[in-house]
Amino acid sequence: MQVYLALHYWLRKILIENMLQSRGLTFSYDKHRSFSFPDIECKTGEQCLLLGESGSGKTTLLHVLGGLRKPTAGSVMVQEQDITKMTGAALDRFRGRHIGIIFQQSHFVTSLTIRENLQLAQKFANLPVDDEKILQILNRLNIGDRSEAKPQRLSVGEQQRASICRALINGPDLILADEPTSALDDSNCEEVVNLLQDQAAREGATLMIVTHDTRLKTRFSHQIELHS
Amino acid sequence: MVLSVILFALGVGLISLLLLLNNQLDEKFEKNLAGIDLVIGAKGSPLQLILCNMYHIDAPTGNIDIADATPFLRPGHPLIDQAVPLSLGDNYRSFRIVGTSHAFMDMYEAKVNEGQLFEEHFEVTIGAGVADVLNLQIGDTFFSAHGFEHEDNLEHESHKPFQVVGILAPTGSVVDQLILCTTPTIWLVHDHEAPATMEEEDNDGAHDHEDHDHEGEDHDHSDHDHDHEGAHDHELFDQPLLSYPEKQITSILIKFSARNFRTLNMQRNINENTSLQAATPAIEINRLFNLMGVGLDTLRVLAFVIVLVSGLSIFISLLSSLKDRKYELALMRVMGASRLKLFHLILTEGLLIAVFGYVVGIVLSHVSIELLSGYMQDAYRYSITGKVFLPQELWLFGGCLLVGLISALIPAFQAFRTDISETLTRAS
Repeated sequence: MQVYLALHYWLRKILIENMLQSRGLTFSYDKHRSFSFPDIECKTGEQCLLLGESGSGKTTLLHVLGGLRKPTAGSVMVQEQDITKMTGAALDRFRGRHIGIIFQQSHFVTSLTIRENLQLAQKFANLPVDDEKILQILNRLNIGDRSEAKPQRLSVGEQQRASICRALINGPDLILADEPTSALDDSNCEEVVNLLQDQAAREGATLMIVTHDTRLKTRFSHQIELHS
Repeated sequence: MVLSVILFALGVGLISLLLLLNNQLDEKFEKNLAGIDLVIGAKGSPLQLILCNMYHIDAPTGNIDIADATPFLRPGHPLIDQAVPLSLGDNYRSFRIVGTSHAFMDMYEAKVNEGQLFEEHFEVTIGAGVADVLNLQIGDTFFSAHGFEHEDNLEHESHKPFQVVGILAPTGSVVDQLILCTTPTIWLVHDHEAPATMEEEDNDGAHDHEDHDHEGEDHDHSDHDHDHEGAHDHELFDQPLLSYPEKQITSILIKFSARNFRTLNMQRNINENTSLQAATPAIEINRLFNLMGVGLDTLRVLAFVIVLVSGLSIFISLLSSLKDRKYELALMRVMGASRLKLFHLILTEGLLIAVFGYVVGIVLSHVSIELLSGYMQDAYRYSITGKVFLPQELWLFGGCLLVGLISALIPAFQAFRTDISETLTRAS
């Protein structure tokens, strides 16, 4: 299994040079509020930091990169496929399979347990439900004992870790994290960044963190700055 | 959600209840018409005459002399195909004892299931329902009680006991609830009990007294053996009914050989020129249904309004829960669910509420009909059952799905249109 995974990551690395690449992205909400973003390039397996003040359009950019929103102009290549050209169910399926997104605040389907939330992620990505894998990932992030709890019963820290689990569950090629640390104190911030970096490396996924949290600056060599 | 289901169940339950009641009552009334064209009895309310003598619900309007009834009972009347005399006035454990002739069985198409038809006085053939409820078997004997409600202190023990000689097969008509015997049996029961004669309301009773005086015995109930011997010896009533013109019956059920203006004239003639009253069952029952129909129609409208309101409540609850779950829906999109999937999800939710509501409502109505049937049996001599399902209930199911679908359509469309990015931005 380990050998197979290693082979898979290696193949992905040589076959696809740039996991994420954007060209000439602009987005306008209306005449007065429009953004134009710098071109972004993230190599396969790389970990990047996208820094920007609030109001610089960070979240908008993350949504465009994650295929949650269409840009006004420009292209976003994920795994060398232009997701701005994808439509409807095809885009949804692609997102479910290849992109894991972590939001600033953790949200879950509140009527389901943590385990069922992760099962849902597998189902929506058209992947078979794999309870063993779910427990494995939950254990790896030290919340295996919370698998049968409803999300709202978890502490904020546990919820954050559970949402990281959800982003990882389908073995995504690209992980996008929106302000994962801004609400956390220094020690928790440290822990979450460690977790994200470790898990992304372990899954061989490309990681991009979008934040205004300057504490993270020292942790990433590849940094992109957004200006408003 | 739960509220929507409850509301929906109430509407469905009420509709199904009305369907069941309406259907079964219609069927029973239809069956009990038994092709009877005319009922002749004492003057009074025509509806009462019908209810008493055909449905065995109401009290009799009174009695008629056989002398007056002779023209209709005598064979060979040009318009009459069948005429059956009825004598009422007694019950056993609140099941009516009806003195009549064998032609009664033909009229209601009742067949003997066990034993035989009554031949001698005090022999009875009982309806299937009576045998069932009272657990009577052939050879069993009992004493009747005066009137139509069971009361222990009204029991006559002064005559020979009734003996069960036959049990009829179930007919689904009122016959199931009757105890049948010869007409003179009713006379014999009452003749030696002057104060408690057949019908209190129209009791000329004079001849009863005379009969009784001849016996020269006192009519105390405790002396029943003597009493009964005396009565029995005194009058055997072994001749045809028409040989006793001074005796009385309660009514005559008539089937015409053909319905035409002459039969109409005959009815008018009876009502205008004799001391008797003639009533047409179909007309009276129609009148009754028209009176009741207003109530039923109101209930039906109410039930449909409830279903519509519950549809509205499904709509509102889906829409408002959509607001709370908008983020969840956006999240599902992030996880890879398509717009169509969310559309399906919300539609399914609406349909599930409708299906649950339907099932709960149907169970509710059938159970309450079952509970009601005991009461109906006692009060109206009608056996109804909640164990039948009507084809209309299948239609109702279709209607429910439609209401659920339509109510969920707009919320589902809203879910379909949810903008993931907007929702996520606004919520965080």
